[in-house]
Amino acid sequence: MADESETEGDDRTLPHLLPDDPSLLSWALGSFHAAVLVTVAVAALHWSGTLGDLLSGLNTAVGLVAYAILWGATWFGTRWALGDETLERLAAGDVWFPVRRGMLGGAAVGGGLVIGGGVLAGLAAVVVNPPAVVAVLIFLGVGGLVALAVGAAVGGLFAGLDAVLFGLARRVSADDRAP
Amino acid sequence: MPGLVHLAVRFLHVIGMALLLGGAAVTWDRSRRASDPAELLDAAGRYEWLFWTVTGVMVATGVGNLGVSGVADLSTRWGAVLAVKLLAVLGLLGGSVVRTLAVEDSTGAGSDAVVLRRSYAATTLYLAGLLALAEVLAHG
Repeated sequence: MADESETEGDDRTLPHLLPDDPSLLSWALGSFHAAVLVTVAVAALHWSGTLGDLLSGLNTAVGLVAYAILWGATWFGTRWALGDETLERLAAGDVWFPVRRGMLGGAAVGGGLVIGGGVLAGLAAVVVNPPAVVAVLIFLGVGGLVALAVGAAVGGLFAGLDAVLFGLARRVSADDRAP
Repeated sequence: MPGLVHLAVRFLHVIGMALLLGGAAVTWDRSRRASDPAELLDAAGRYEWLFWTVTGVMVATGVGNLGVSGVADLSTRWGAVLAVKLLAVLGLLGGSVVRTLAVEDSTGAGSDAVVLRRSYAATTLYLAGLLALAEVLAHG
């Protein structure tokens, strides 16, 4: 974490919005990202009229495990994206730095989930059905690239949304402290 | 076995709402009474940890509940209420990030206590509204 005196921007807010232990922040934002992703997906499916069919074909326990994996991955990606100088740069008014970190973190989460799943499927295929390994490798190549791209886009969007909410929180606090 | 999983999912969803709403109400009350800023910030910080942990569980079990109970079309009253509830959940999530960041920004002294008090009052009332929507979905 950079020395406060070396950081430009709102020096009133900096000491408070840059906690020594940012674990609550990364837990809150990681949980927020996972919850918003799933809620938006559910809402979109409900709007399209396909939610009931999709959920009726999904095992509840499998769905819960999938959510837990997504939650853990987004928390990990968010914690990484918040590291380095992200908060300092955001507080100094540089929005693009956190967006770039968000895109990299999102790509890692998206790519990690798909490629990790593909590797597990590949290992299972080697044991159970060796000819299926080719299909798994194609999935790993194409799916992995798509997941990296989609993850980067989603990560960048979330970083931008976080920056807007970050600014709102600063305004709420500043308004309250105004004489 | 599936019945046990479904029962556990519903149990967690109900308990989760009780923790979110009850925790917000208690933190709101403490923010009105606390004379020690450190004590107030400590209570707020603990609620924020609880809130984000339980909220993750609530979203997961909420989707699980939909899978168990079935989903009516958007053109029906039930489907429309579900759409409103999903939008309300997104509003809760966004507003709560602002609240958590405001807590992180607070020193707990003077007017900061006003931010915390208003934040937890708003969270309590908003969650009560969401609970009412959940009641409509569960019992018509």
